[in-house]
Amino acid sequence: MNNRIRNTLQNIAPTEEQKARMLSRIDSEADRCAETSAVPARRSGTKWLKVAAVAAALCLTIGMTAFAEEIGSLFDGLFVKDSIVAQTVLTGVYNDNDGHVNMAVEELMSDGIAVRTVIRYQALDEQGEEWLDTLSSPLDTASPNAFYGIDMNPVFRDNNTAEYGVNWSHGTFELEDMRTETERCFISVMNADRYGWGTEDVQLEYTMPSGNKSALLCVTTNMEKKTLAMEAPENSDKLYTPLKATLSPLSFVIEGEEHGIIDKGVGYDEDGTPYYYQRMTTDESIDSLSLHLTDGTWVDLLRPSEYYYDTDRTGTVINDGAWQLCAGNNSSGENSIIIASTSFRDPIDISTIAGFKLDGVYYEFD
Amino acid sequence: MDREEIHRLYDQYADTVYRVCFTYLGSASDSEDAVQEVFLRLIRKQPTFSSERDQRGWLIVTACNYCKTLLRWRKRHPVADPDRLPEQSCSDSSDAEVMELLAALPHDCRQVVYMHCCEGYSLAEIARLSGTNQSTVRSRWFYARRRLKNILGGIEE
Repeated sequence: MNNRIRNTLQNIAPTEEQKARMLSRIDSEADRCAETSAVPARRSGTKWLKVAAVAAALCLTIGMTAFAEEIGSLFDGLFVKDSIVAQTVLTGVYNDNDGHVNMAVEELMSDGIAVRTVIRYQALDEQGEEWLDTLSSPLDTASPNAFYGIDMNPVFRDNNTAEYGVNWSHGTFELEDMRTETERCFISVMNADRYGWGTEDVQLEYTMPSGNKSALLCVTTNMEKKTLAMEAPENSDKLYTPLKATLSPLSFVIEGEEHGIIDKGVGYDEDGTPYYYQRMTTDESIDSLSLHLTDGTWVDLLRPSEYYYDTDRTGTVINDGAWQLCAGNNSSGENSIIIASTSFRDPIDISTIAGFKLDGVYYEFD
Repeated sequence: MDREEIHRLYDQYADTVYRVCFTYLGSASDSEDAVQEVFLRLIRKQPTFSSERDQRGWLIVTACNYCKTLLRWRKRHPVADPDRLPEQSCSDSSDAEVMELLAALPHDCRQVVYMHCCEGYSLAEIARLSGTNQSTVRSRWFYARRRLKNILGGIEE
């Protein structure tokens, strides 16, 4: 298959006419840049940064305007202002100061799956201001501080990802309207596909004028959740059995057992480095999954919401698809499986959720 | 970076960068614009590289990032008809099938498939060049393999 892909792609090449046209445009742009000493010209208004989507490779994106609308009250608490989750938001989480720049994780909220933070950098002197300018977007991949230098990953017990096979994604974007000569603010988000992905800490990696640094952020949360013990229909021909569903303002997960869907284990790189793998051994898939609201409407959780990028639309269940049929934690049993897992763009009011339908079977929350 | 150096790099890498961009964008005209943008970034940044392999990798990763950002931006700002079909360039039905399968992969997986299968970068190199965890790259690779395997009905290492 590799050869087939390679052979196909090698057939793709610009014509000589195209190459000449491109080079001509590059030459003239390069000349223009040289004349004006221009900095990169194309900077879109929205800076979506590193999206380190894993495994299912869900691209985590959050409508920026929805957050931008809150900017005026940021320092009164961007997340706190959201009444749905206000009680669970931690403030003044972490602070670092090297004399030139102050970096602060001002807010953090989590349900044990999704972790959301507000991060603010503040320059304390001229050197700090100059450095602040070097924090750059994914468009500037060559910069040492690309992706704003921010990354967030789960901390696994015994540093052993092999045992867990957890999927997660991370994204950071800037609240550009907040940017001044001395301050820059970011929303940084991590979404895992399960509870119990390791310790209760995430590792935040960030950068300072003195170099790259990291911090452990505790994400212990008391966020309200709904759980439901599920009983699958006896006549189901599915190779998975749903056992438990968990709904929080930030995510929805169905766990269960699988019966011959997944081959998982530990493999080794050419250099002997161990890695965890999981492979589908069948074409099994979820037929349908929807979340049903108390007002009678429902939302298909397997498809990215058509409103995902409509940042004017808030207060509804909006997600970007779901992880499906992923191997569960070993500690949950050899055949454990995450049947489906999704995180919501905006926190939802779980009291408005009546139940859900999986593969045509309706399950009602108490 | 003088004109001669720019032209040397362009001659060396233009095809590769174009190929990467076309894999994402599926359009000749869009790919031309993307190639221009990638080379302009090289000119503006003038990054230093420890090897030609790293230089090539930087151009590929930059092209991928640019295309992903462009596609994301377009998704948020649809112009006339967001569902328009990309220009077709593969007359061979087998090639068209492969392109279709690649196009169905998530962006990040596509980057790993391209760099690993077509350019021969190891997963560790891809992780380093793209600033991503190795475990993340591995996960993307396994996911992509699974997706492609299921549809093509077989995989050869």
